Amino acid sequence: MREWKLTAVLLLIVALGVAVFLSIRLANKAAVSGFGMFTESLTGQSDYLIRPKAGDIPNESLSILRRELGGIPLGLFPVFEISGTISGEETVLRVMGLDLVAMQNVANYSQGVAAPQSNARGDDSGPSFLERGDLVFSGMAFSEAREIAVGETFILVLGDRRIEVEMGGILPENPNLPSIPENLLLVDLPALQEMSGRIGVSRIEVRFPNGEFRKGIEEEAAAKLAEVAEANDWLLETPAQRKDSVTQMSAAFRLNLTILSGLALLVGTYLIMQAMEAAVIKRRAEMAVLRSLGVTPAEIRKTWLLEGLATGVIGSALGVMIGIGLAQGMVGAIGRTVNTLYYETTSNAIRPEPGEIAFSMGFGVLASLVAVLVPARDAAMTPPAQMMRQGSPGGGLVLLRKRWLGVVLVLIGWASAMLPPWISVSGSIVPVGGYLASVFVVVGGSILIGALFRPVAKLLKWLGQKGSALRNYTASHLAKPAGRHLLTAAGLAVAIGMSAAMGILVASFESTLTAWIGQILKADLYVSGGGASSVENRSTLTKDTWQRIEAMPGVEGADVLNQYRIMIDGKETVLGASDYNDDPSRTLKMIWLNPPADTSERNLLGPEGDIYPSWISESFSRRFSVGKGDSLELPTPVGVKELRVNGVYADYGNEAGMLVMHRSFTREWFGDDEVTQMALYLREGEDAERVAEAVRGEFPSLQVRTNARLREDSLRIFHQTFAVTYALEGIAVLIAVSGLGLALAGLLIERKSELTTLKSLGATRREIASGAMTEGLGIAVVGMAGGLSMSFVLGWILIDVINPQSFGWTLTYRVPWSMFMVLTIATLIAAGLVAYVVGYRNAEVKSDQED
Amino acid sequence: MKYWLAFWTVMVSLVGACRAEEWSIPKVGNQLTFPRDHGSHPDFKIEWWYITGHLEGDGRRFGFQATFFRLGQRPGEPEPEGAFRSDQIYMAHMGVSDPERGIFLHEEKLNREGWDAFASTQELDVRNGSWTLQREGSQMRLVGGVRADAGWELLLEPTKGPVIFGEDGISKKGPDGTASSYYITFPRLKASGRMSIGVDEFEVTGSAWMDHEISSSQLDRSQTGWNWACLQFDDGREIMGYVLRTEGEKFSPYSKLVWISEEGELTHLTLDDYDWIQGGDWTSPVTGATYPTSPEIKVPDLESGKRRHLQLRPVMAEQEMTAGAGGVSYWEGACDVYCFDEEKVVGRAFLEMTGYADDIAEKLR
Repeated sequence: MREWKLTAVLLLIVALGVAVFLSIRLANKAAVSGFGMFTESLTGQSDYLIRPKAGDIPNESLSILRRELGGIPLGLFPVFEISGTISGEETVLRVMGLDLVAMQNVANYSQGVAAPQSNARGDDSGPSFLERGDLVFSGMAFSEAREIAVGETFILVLGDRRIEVEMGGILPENPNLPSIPENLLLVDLPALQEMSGRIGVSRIEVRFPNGEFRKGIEEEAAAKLAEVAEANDWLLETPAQRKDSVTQMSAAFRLNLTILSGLALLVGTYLIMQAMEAAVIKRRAEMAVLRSLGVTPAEIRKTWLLEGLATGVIGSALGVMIGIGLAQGMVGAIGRTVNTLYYETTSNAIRPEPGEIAFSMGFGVLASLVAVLVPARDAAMTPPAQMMRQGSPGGGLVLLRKRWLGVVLVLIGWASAMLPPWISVSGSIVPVGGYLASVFVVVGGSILIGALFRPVAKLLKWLGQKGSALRNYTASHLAKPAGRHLLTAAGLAVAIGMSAAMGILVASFESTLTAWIGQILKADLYVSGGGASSVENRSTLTKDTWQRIEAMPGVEGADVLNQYRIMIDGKETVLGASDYNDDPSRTLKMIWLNPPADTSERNLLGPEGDIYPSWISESFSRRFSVGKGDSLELPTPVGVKELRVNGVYADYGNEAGMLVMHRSFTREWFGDDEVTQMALYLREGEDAERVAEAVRGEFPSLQVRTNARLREDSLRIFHQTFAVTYALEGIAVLIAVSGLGLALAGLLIERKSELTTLKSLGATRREIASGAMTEGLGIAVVGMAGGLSMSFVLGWILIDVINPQSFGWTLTYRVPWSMFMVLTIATLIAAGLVAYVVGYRNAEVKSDQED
Repeated sequence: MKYWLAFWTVMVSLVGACRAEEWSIPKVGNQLTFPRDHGSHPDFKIEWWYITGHLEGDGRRFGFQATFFRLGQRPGEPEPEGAFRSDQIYMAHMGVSDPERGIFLHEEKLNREGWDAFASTQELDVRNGSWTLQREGSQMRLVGGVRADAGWELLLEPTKGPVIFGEDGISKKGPDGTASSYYITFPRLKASGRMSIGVDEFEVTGSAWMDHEISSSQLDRSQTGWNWACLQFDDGREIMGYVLRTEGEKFSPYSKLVWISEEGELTHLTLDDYDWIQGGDWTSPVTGATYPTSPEIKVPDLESGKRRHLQLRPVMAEQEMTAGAGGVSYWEGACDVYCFDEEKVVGRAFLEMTGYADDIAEKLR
């Protein structure tokens, strides 16, 4: 392979690694930043947010807040945000209620962007939201996507309510603000309260006035706000804190993605090391001459490091460009996952942030430098020309030959897996020990697999007894593997190991989830409000609706569930309120990790004095460090209530955790008799689909799913979640296999003289190619075997260390044998093909040169 | 930018397109009762509580304006009590002039009736955001400011009044009976309190003027705006006077000037009795409108019987309230009252000029 080609491949490897890493990070960020401080796209950012710990902030509290602030000139902007959908559509809409009159004041406050001041006369020709309660407003994207023009009407579905609304106007984009999300509808606040039947607001955005004395007002106001929030049991946060606390929910998921993308770069590092080593070997003669001419080893090393640096910088720059493009394609997929699992977000356009770009570039350059360190040392140690014979094989990577180091690293890895997780200031749990363990196991394991070469060589020799002498001869190379062999196998092993480990995680997850769903989903039909997709959405069915459904023909009984978002210890979680009293046989059909001692009605419904019975999910238990028998303080609109935890159950649907209690209590505390979900049990012999049709017929805005359909949907969502993961694994393996080709090419160039001899002995191109294939397969087998062995350990770390720590889920260990089989066969075929092609081409080049 | 403008102006049409007939109109001979009539009259379309004044502290001089507007959106049954009502909109304007530093600051707030803006129908208690005007014993307390640039809290004590302008208790603005108002004024209030401008804070004292005007139509169709002034003489008397402008810059015969004696007795004069001579043009760099900021007024002095030649001289030219979403730009500024006869300043005044930057009649008709 020519020099420039090698350089090109080297650059491409770095570029690809950096591209994958950057694109994942950017796509991640875009997906998360889509999370909804939707007001920002209309009016700019606020200084503080006041939120209730549970339920809504009642309207009456607004005037109390203003009164308590006295003359402090703060802008208070209540926001009422709910989710909904358009009749006949699946997409979830963010319906935002703002006081459209008060929004005029926004420009007087910090960072506020509002209507420009004008002297133009008002135009009374259009309808006014003051006169009409059915006007909604949206950005251009919404209107275009649905072909709804100003003045046209459509049906907005909020929970079980269907409201005919009219498009009152298109909100203009402001170049200084994030673009208006496509799924955002703006409604005058009181109109939205009327439409939804909920008289309250979700939060109050607080803004400081602009001006010279702003600093003084800020201090006074912050102190006063804190005092008022405390007195009313509200949360006071800055938008940054709010974003943090929300995005923290998906932090574990995103961290996993980042680490997986780091993997691509890690494999890349191995490959760069490999290519650099090849270059060192190729230019040994040159080095030797330089040494003879008096160039010091330090200078030679410097030259090589410079080359590594240049490769890193150019390759990373290339990678950044590719990465931005890739990210654009990925953000949709990640956004959908975050949407389904965590909270409402809009897939935003990728913003190539300088910070992220610098980080990825730095990572790429660093990896290149690390990769070139060892070969540079080798180059510097090249003896002077008179002492070396041309073409003598390089010393190889000394480190990769130190088996004891591998053993030590694996042991350190095992020890770090025992470390407790690190808990950040914001309360997010990072399983540092688990990640450290993975890194140690990966690096240690890739050293240890060198030991596999000898048995694999023996195996090939044994197989080769019946084959050609040439193939046999090539296999013998494997018995004494060069540094290049070791590196290639290590790179492959890392890629295979990590992919297979993810495979184990997914398989374990899937089998646990399937079992859980089977246990949990016992009802025949499930009903929920329109426009609800995740826990975040509280889309409700009114009492009248759910009672009518309960009384429909064919329905024997129903369980109803109401969910509230609540704050405990400053962290967001979910309160589930359930009626299980209709049929004792259905009571608490959960998978108990720590079952209640007594599941009688008394246990469910009987408070002991002022202490109320409850039970919690596993994630809740881990997040809040409470267990069975502990007590808990629950914020409610009527004050803090004390709960006793009677049991802990398994729940894989929600990593924010869930606290469950009987609905009879919450109905009173939260003052509503609405529910978010219903589980219907049908009479013996009833056709579920027929009843589902009947419910849909009467309540077209509701989502009605049969048991089978819900199971299907759950698994579909599950696989959707891992879609990005699958893609990443593919990329890692792809990079590793191409590295194999690169390594073989280098080896063949190195053995130029040998090849010439072989050819003069009558070896054909095909024979040489098949010899290369044997060698390539040998390396691949070593990599596969090493990688798969590693994956069992990595899988254990993922399932027993990282997963419980970051998600709070206990999974049963499952190995996806069929996936392993496919992976093995695919990798071997690819490796064999690549090796054959490389061998064939190199054989030709050599003979040409010979003539 | 244009789109924003179009959008928001359609959104907030300050005064609904309803016909005035459906609103109450001031009735001749109606007896106003206090403190109730210092409060709000939601059956009328337009109402405002207007305070201007001159303050001094630490050798510095300030002029200030604080106006709370109530703009009815639809007549008839009021909406039930609630945090977000749509039947009344409250607009408020605050302004402060600091002639020494040459700074004029102003802000507008717009809110619907409810949690953040309201006016009591029992007595004086008006609120818009953090700005408030309330009765406090025999005094009033005004809390206001301009963003984080200025802030004030003043106690205002009436030294006379209230007086009610107009014949039979209504002030007529045109031949059509609907263009009229109830017009209640405290012509002289003793002001004290604190005023902060930027990071400086001052103990201030001074005098203020308060109008409370209630109507359903302020201007007649043919009128394009007004020039209005309140003059407080050092001798304890006041003048409230205005000219209503019609197309072609003519003055409507409904223009008025009223002398208020030290004891609070009123003498009404018409255009036959006084002259209002526009002058001292200043062009706004913001709106491009040209305002006659130094009008001369020739008026008989009822005490001396002599005709006095006065001129209002603004403490600074730039005292224009440029429009916010409310969409009304006008000039409202502190002036000295110069007397040509005596060749000296004989009092202080506030001058208001509307209809120069835009068609105010459209808004207030």
